[in-house]
Amino acid sequence: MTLTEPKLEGEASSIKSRNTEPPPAPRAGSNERLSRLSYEMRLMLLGAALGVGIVLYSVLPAIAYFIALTLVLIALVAASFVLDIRQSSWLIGGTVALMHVAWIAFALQFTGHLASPLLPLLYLVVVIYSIYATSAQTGLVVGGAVVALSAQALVMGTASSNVLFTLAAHSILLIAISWIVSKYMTQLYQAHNTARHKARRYWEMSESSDDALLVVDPAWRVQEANTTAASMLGNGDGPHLEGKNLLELLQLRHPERLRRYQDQILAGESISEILLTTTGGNGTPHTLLFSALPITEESQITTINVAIRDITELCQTQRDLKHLEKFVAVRHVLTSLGHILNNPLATIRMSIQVAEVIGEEPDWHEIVRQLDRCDAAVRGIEVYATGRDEGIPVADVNEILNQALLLTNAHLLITGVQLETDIPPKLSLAHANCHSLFHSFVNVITYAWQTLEDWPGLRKLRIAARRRFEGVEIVFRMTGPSPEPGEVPELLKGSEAIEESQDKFMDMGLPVVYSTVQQAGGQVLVSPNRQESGTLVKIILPAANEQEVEQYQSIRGSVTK
Amino acid sequence: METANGQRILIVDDEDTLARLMQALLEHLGYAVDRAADGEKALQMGAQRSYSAVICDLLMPILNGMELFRIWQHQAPELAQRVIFVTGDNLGDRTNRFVELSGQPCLYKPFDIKELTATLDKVTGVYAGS
Repeated sequence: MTLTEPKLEGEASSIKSRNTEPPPAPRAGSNERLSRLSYEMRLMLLGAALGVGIVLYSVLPAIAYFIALTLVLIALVAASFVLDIRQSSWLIGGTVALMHVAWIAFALQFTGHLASPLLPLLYLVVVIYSIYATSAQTGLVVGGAVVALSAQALVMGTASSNVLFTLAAHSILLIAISWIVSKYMTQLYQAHNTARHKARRYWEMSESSDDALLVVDPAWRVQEANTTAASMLGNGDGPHLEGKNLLELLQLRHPERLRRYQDQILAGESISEILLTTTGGNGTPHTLLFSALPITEESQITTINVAIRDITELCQTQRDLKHLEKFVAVRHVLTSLGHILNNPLATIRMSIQVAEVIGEEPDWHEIVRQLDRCDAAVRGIEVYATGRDEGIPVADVNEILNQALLLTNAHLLITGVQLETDIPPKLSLAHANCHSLFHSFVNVITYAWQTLEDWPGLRKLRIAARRRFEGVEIVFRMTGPSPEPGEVPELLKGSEAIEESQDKFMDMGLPVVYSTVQQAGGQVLVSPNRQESGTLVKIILPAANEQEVEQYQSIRGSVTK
Repeated sequence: METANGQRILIVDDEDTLARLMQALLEHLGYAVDRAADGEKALQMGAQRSYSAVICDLLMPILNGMELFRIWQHQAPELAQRVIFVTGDNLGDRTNRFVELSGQPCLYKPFDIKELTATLDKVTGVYAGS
């Protein structure tokens, strides 16, 4: 957004605060709105013109009169500039009036009488109209003058070619000058009016903006600020911001970030915006979206337009939404758990009841097996919910994949996703946090069924794992919509909020996977599934070192005992 | 418990143990019972034989209970009306919505055998009556 408004005639160019009175409304074109003073002044000028014309005629010879008349006309034009009178109609009226005087003079000199009393009336009508015209109606006024002159010439007859010649010369000259001046002044007036309208609109926009808008110099000293800026950066009092350094006004937690940004802006680098955190007056942290647009003149940065938006509430809403997403995620997990437990429970109940009905002993081995299923499900959910792990960064990929599939299998079935697995029984132990990895696998599988839930085509998820050099590679290949090339990094890149999240183990989505695997020193690659449409998520984890493996095995041993 | 007069029941469930137990119970009650481990097999069996009732799990691999039911609604509407759903997905919105829209009875795991036999009696009774 550009703050700098066009400088108008008569406006101060000094520093000013924007929370003062709005600029005056543009002068209206209608006659009703013209000031009385302006009207009187025009009448006075008209009278003066008539007087000057009569005096000049009485004292000067014809050629000198002609020159003097022209000079008077030029003087009138100059006066209109000096007095900043934008309506040119009075000027044309004055011109026609002078022509009328000239006609009277010539008529009396050459014919001894007025040819027709109607002609002055005709002139008078033109003059009055021109004075009261709401804008410079050049064509009408000039046209009227021409008609009047022609009529005059006809009435006077052609007794004296000298009279006709002089009249014609006067007419052509005056009409040409009137037309040019009137046209120019009308354009000038319109341009001026438009500029004032724009300035006013701009001012209103700036003042009604919820963003803090400032104009600063290249040293980041405030030149102008709107009301929001004054309230955000001060105590609601605008002028005290002027001349102060913006960096000092913003009580930033990390001022070096803004310094870096400022340096980049001044170096001409194109940067969109940055997030800043400030400590407000009452110590409450605020999140600000800061953007700057340098204004250059002749390759030099003269001013910088700054827009600052307080997005604290927006961030809070996003956090609330994130919490809501977590609840939804927990609900999914609980639904899955219910499904996992209900099957073995149904089998146990059925075993006992059927044995009763048939009169046989229940199959206790089967019942124990079903109880083991319940136990495994509960253990899985414990890991998911509490983050309990072995305390060392070693993960059994087979075990964790199985647990993740156990938890998510119901949803794959509900959404009609065909699951194919190609997981060798003995993969290397990987260097990764057991709980985070479990969470990551659940997230990728959840991403798959959520993506495929409404997919009209084939719904398939293939999970393949391999030993790979010094690590383990797990590939999730899913059908469904393919990510756009530009989408892939966004799909995976965590936001700052993720990095700062205190309880990120509960976050859902691929950014968590990215973060977990990166922390383990591994890699995540997301690309379009080339075999079929869809997405391919490849996770590469480094193998655990010997010491970690020994440690892990000893802990596992003690746990088993 | 009353016994059935040789009515044939199809059990469609990928939970093998549970399916076997239901089969044992129903055979003990006098029903003739066939089993299918997924929807696709059930579809083939439904085309070959007439069944008084179908006890069908909703979540199965290859062709799940919902898809099987939709196919039967078009191809064998009478058979579709004799389906009893069973599911462990008691909290799932999608499952519950489907069951409600289908208008068919559903047994939520872990169900009692009395619920099973009562529902079966109802369905097979309607079938016998019609």
